[in-house]
Amino acid sequence: MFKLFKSYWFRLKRFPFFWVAIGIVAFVAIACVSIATTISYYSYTQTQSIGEAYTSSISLTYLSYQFLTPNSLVPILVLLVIAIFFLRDVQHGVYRNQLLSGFSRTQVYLGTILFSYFIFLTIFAAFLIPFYVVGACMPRNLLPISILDGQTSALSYLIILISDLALPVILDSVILMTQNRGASIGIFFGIYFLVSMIGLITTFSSVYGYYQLAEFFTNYQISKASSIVPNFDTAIKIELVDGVYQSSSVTGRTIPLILKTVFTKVFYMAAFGVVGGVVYNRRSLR
Amino acid sequence: MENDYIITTDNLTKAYNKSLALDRVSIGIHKGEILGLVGKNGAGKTTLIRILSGIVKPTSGTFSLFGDKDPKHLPSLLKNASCMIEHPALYDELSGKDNLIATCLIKGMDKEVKSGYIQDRLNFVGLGALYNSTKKVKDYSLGMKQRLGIAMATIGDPKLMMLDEPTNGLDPQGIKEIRDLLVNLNKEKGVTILISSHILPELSKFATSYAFIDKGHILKSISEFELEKEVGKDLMIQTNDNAKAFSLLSSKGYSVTNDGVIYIKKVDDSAAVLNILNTNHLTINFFKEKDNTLEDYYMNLLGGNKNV
Repeated sequence: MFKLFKSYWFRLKRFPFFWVAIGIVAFVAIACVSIATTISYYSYTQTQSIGEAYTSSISLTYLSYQFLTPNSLVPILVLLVIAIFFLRDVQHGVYRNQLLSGFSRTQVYLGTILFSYFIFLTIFAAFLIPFYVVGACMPRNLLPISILDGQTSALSYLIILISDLALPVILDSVILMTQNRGASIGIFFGIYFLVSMIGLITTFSSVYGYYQLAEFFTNYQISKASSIVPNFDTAIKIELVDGVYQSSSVTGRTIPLILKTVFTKVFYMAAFGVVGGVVYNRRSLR
Repeated sequence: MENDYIITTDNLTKAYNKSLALDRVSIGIHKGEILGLVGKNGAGKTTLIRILSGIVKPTSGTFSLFGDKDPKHLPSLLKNASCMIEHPALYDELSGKDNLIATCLIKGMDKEVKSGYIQDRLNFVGLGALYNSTKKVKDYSLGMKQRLGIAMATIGDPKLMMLDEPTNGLDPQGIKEIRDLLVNLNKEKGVTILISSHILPELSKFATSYAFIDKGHILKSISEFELEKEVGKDLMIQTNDNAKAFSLLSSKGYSVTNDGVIYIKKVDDSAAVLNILNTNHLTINFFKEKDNTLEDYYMNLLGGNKNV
């Protein structure tokens, strides 16, 4: 497997879009921190001019969530890099080189997923490292690391990362199952769109929006995680009482939300991973 | 002798939907052989090579590589083989040199990357001048891609090469160079080669055995020696008494026609024919030998005017 990785890495280093993606996320990270600090400084001077104490309403962790959630810039760039990198091989019929070099189909399949995670982590690091390095140089009163406690911040990151981690597995399994560029893109984004739509409907629809169902979907989990002050412990329950929808708060939702987040993403990864592996092992290749 | 086989197939069958691409194909390729797989488009040549290289799974039947039939062992067996199927599987966005490096890395040949191995492989296929070039493979001509594909196929000193139309797109000089390369590999390193080609005159210059395939069936497997014996020569003769010559040769079992000129098919020994005519006091006015070719043999096997 290490040989496979070496060869992938050799080619990734020569893949211009990978470096473009790295450049974009690094630039966005630095620009975002700089702009946020400037805005905070403007608010700070205004607050000072009226003699009030200044408290920043944004933090580095909160800002980073806005670029890391599944529907945002960094994961979308990661998916594009992975899709173009591997779909090119499928289209040119060079995926078989790995098989002809003595790797089993299972090794090639797992190698693709693991290397996708490598790409994922590299681009995430390319965003987070300059983001926190530049952020750390800014005045703390203007841009604090986090306005939440450490546990809640870590929980938010966990929810976002687990949500993101499912995506490369789904993409890779679709690419290797279909062995076709158009079909891969169509199916992957079809699934992506469908799951997002169901998530939106269950989250916002008053008819189906019971929190228990919504908690299974990324939109709900992410909206919780990436709000300025995530309140994992509370959910809004909407009920039809005497023909009128009424909402009430339900507490004690932190553990169920985390379990559902982990469960659904593990389910996606396992389902697509296993089905993709079985189909790839059996089908004829280009 | 059984252990001498590098490839054997046993009733190998591949069906796509309801059509059979391969139908109970059983062949064997001995160590050190160059087997030419001959058949027209869609005959099943590529499907056979794709199955043997593990890209396509057979519907039924089995095959062995290096004497091992276990499909689970196929990936490790393929480490000693190389394939070029339909077109060279090249990384278009890389240079020729980088393609060879990527292949070396997959095969775990890191040391070779740093030595002169890559230059050597490029020289081997006549692309040595491209070693320092950054030109991407997507900008190569078809012939250059074919050569590079062959260079990739020789990486790791394979004991078996399976090549599907390796000379497609090459000019006559290129075809000769590739032929010389393959013969060289076969003679000097004992590489067994399975090669499919449409260019039968070319194939006949270096294949040591042939398998003729049509509509997924193996019509015939034959060695070079057997083929030479079977194809023989055709003779055209005109004598002072063609009727007598016709009757004499027919009575000796020759396949003869008389159409103003005596036409004798598949003659092993021309001297024997001339001897029969001379001893019967026939004067020969015209004599011509025509060597039969692999193409003629293939056409006869197919039963007429079918395109290869």
